[in-house]
Amino acid sequence: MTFHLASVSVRHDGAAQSAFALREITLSIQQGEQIALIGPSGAGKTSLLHTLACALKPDAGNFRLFDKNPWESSSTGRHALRSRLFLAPQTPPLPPRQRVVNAVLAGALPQWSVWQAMRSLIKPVDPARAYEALVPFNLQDKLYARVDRLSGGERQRCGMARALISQAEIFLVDEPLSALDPTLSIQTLQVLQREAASRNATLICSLHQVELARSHFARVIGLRDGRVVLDSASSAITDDDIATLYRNRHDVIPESEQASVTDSTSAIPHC
Amino acid sequence: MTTTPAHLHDPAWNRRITACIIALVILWPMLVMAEFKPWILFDAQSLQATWQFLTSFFPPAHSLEFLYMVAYSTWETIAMATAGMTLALLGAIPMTLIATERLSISRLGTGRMARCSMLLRQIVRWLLILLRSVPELVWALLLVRIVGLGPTAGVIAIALTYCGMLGKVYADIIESSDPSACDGLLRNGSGRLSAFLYGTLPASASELVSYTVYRWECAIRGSVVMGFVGAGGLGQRMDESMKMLAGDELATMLLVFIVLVACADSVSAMLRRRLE
Amino acid sequence: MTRPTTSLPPAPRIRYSTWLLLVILVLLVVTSFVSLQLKWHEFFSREAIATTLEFLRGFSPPEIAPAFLMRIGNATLETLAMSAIGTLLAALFGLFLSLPASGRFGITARLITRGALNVLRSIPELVWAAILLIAAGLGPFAGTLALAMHTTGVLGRLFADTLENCPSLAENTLRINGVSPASSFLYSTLPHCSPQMMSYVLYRWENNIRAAAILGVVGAGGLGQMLKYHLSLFQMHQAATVIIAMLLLVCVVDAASFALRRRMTR
Repeated sequence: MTFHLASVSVRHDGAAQSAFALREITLSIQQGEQIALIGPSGAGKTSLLHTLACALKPDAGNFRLFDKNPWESSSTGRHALRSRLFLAPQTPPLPPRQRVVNAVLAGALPQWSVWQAMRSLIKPVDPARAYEALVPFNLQDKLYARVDRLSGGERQRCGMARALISQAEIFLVDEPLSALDPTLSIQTLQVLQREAASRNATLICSLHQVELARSHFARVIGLRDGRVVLDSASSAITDDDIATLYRNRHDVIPESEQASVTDSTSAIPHC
Repeated sequence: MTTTPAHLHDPAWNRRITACIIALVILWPMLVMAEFKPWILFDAQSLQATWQFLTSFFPPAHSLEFLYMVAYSTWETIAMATAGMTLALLGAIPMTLIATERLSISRLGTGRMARCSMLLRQIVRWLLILLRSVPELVWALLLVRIVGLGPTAGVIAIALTYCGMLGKVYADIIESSDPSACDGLLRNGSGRLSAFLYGTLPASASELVSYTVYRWECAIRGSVVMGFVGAGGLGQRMDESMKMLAGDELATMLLVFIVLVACADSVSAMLRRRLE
Repeated sequence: MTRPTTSLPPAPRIRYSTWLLLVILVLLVVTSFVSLQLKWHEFFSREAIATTLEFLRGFSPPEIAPAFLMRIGNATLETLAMSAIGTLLAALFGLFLSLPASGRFGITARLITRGALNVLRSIPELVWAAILLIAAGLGPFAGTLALAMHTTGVLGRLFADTLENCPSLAENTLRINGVSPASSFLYSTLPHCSPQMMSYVLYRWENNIRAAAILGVVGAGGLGQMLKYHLSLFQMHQAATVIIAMLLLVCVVDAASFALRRRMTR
């Protein structure tokens, strides 16, 4: 069992005075699953991803990662565990004046020593690896460009390229498609899913585009006000369920804006 | 050995290697010229001298007579700085008013200033630059020879240098503020000084005062430095103690100086906060 | 025609503390002038003005014999070297000290380092030079070290403030993904802050060239030492040339620093 959460509650920022971001979450996730996380704004999707990434300590409940409670191990043990995860936040965490090659190779930093890291800043140690990671996103020509010269969408895909370099077994991705047009969104999603499938990695992806979630992911979890209100195979979800989830909120992107989903190259794994 | 394919060749690498080589080529002669020999610090004689000097710091001199003299010198330093700044302000304010283009009446409507007013403005600007470029210590060295030892030389040196500095920064602040208020008043026939008081000053006042307070703080430090060439105050006492290698006296004076700077710092921060 | 006697709204009263501040300010200025017993009448008397003019006239023409100009050239290069090496050392030590001073190693380390940096920068370069002469001997080495000490305090604090104000998303993400603190600093915060820090270094170099020019007055080499020497021997023509050399050096360094800063923020 990769993840097992039993009645986990988490406060915002982990501070004792903050309100609860997640309430009594109970989930089980196997290795290799691909899950879409949906819900209105403020539902707690980002907090859930951060909790799963061991970045937020649960206030109550039982949280197990790889059958161990990471918050009971030492700080170094937990840090070693972190290198098996990859969290990609919504805003690409790339320093503006850094070059794409270094920004992408930063995905390999958990495996590098500090000396190797410093050497790579002076002259990139493995540009070929960064190049190959950028090819699926069609960004290979920008290998030596500066991050602040890229467009918003290119920066977001650059952040995804880091995931390809990392050796993580779990991908936790927060809104990876917010700056991309519909065609690029589908392509990027397929690259991520292909990579996760080839490594048998777990992929948990929070999305606003509900139709993409339903059509590309085998399992969908819906959050509202910090609770899990929906957790089933995407085929079993009805439009009523979605309407209930987003009742009184207007975050759903209407169907008419989604491009057609008939891509022959998509490989949707079934678990 | 495989050669890197063209698309993987790092464009910044050659530039970095060249920059590195140039830096080393420049660095080596500079180290020689600055007589940079850190091992001197660690040879036996120097270590002993340093050790003796450092140990003489404790305990810091605290006889009542000495403390009274230090207090008097500290006041002398503050007074030098304040008097110097006051004189600098008396000079800088008129010069800024003359030099700033904001108050030019001949430029209204035509966009170009009359010849002689432009000439006058340029002369005042060059005067300000000259006053500011000569280091204040050089002024102090010259003035000590004219007016003799003592705080007079320090006050005039501060007045001259800071007049240049204040003038330039005041002009910068005024030029970068919104011109519409002052312009409006000038176009409607108000006098230059009134237009300044009612148009430019309200907008720039807090920045102007804030910079002046900051400069006053710098002037206190500058006064101590000028004491080393005979301009009185805490600096001159420090110079005398150092020549006699009286570490304990120096220690007290350094402590007093650090406290003085910290106080001036917090007073200045408090004043600047009130302005916002 | 009668007008209703409406009363005007009350005028805003100036705060009591503002009056107090103004009074203190005026008192400070007046007591400064009085207690210094400045010899105004001596300064503005006929003889004083005549002496001053005589003194100033003694400066021209500035000495331009080739042998002397060679010495000036050497002293200028010495001054330039002092300022450059001093600033470079200060940048390195300042960066090193700014890491604890920005709070990366806890509150105690931050307080201690910031206190040390404050002490370093409170003491002016000239005072440092006078103190360091004992350890480093006469000559430009003491001047270089003095500049390094003072500028470390200034740059250390500026760097620490920059590091503290840096947005932490990039570094936090790398840490969450299992990267060591050192590597995540190198790959996120440092590239983000380095242009601003380089700009501070170049700005301090402009300031340090002025400071280096006068450190020689206490014996730390460079143009300052030449100036003191010639003034004490009343060799005014030579002193004039030294002052002109100082002004030219300051101009050149100002221009170079401005150009470098423009290039880096392109």
